[in-house]
Amino acid sequence: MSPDRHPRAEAPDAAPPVRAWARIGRLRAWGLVLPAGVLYAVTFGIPLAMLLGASFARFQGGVTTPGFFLDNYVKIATDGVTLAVFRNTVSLSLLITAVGLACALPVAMLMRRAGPGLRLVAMFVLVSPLLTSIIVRNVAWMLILGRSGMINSWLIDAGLISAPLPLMYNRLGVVIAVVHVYLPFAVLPIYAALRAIDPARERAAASLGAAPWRVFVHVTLPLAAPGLIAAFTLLFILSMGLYLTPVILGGNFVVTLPMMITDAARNQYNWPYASAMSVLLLASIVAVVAVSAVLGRLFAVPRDA
Amino acid sequence: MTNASRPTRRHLLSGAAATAAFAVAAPYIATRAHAQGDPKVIRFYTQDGTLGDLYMEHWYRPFVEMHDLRAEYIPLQGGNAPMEKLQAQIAAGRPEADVIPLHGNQLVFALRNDMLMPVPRDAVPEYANLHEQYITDWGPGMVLWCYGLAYNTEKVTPAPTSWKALWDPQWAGRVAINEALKDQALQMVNIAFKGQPYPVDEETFAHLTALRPNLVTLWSSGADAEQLFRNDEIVMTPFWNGRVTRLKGEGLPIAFAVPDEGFFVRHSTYAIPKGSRNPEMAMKWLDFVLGVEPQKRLVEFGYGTPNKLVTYTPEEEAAVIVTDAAVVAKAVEEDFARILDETPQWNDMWTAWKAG
Repeated sequence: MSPDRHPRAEAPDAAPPVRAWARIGRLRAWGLVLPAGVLYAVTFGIPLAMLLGASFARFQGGVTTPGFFLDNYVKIATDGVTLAVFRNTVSLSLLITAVGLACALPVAMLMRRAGPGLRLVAMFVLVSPLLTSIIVRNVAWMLILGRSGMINSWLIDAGLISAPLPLMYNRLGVVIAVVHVYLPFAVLPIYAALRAIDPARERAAASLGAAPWRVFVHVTLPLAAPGLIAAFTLLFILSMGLYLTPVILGGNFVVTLPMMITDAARNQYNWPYASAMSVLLLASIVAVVAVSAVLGRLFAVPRDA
Repeated sequence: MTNASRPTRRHLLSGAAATAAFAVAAPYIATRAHAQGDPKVIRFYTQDGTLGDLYMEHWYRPFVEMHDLRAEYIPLQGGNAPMEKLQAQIAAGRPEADVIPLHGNQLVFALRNDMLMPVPRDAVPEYANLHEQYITDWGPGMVLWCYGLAYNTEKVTPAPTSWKALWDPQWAGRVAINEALKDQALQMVNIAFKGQPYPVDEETFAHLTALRPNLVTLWSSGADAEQLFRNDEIVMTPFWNGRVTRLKGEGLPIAFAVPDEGFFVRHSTYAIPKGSRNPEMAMKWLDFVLGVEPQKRLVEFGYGTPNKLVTYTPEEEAAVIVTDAAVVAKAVEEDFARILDETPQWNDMWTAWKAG
């Protein structure tokens, strides 16, 4: 039935039929997203509001008093420990992100140029760490990086070193293990961005006399910027939430904010403080996503590019 | 399409309201339904590993079969009752377990937050056979374990007799301490250098800083520490006797020493949470598990028992440690209320120390 045959549209005082149907159409569209919206509100929005509310409660002598107190945020700002650990978390995340991007870019470029078979193999190798339990993965790294692990044994047997190198229970061990598992989150967006580049543009630059590195820097890299920004965002956000790997491979000496949150909640039963630190972590991640969105727009590749 | 079947704004809004009402009400309905007690169902926390297998085989299943019950088992992560979750569940009137094992500071926390129901003495006849210090108004203390020095017998000779052995420069990069129960590690430092467990202060952390060159890691669980010995990462660490017994059983050259300055003996209080759906059966289980047979199985595994009627073989005595009155006299008296109150400050200092 067309809108102009609608019975109500025949009434002289009715709204113009096209506008009425457009309004109904909009409502229908909202109706379709409503179940998901309600689900999100219940499973995400309400807990988030509760987390925010809990962060303003007071914890003293093992007892939590609900209310609006700024104690936890004052503590974060003034105790000298929480902000130091937050900075440590950010610097560790930036390090992991930088190493991850440096490793991911060549892999993505290789995959772009590879045939379907090699691409499939590369994809499987990349994704395979995600198919293993995090504990198993970390213990495997202990066997490789440990004092009597594979690397140290080989180096000692080869006469290259006389005493084992400290490859784990420090930042190095954490970065190696985390980059290993997070690499696909960097490779895949970069690979998608590289695939979207018309090779004719690179060929045109080369035909005009640009050296390969100049083509890469001035043509390929700018056109892959959206993928790089997405990879940066994903790696950084994932790294900000690190808990288990720093515990196992950092020997607890590499302290992250999630470790402090867990400790406050599980060992001190101080959920107000744990909530406040969670809010800080969440706010920092939201800020990174916002900056990333702005950068994404700035470096967006036009559709006709 | 007719007028009757065409969706209007009113239809959409009422549909949305119904969906929202259902989403809001569903958890409440589910919670109330779940909270209904069934006298034939009992809920236990279970653990991973061989200790978890022992509980299942000798503590849970025989009782469940004896009373023709259905048991629900809730995995316990890291061996600690999830106090944050339990507090919320008890407030909602539906704790997930009918019996909860509590460490000393957890018991203080639970009592301050009114989370437990009393366990009357006459409800647990087996109390008559227990050492008095393990009976509380909230349940019995069980699963006695010690915290002393574990060391590699081939590399650390002679056997250490003091906590200060950890600071010996010859063990640079070959020693670990525990992050898991850091209050014990901090008290250990104080016992070693001050002769008393408190206060934890700048001096305590100065000693920890002096230990830093020897530390390879801060382990987070007993399983971590076991692996450190297996991988030959460490030669010595403050550790729990039960774990040492297990490693010895694997053939590792390892022994447990009770330092002269004192050591730590702890146990868990098995309590019944307020709102438990089957408190009667939970009390019957407490009585059952305190009996000689279930307690003897635990002794065989390397843990001490509060039951006076349980006998030990010489090997069991050596492994359990707390059977020897002279050794028990060396146990440090811990103040769990103080530990709970001061843990936030201790944690801040600890985090600053290890991140520094």
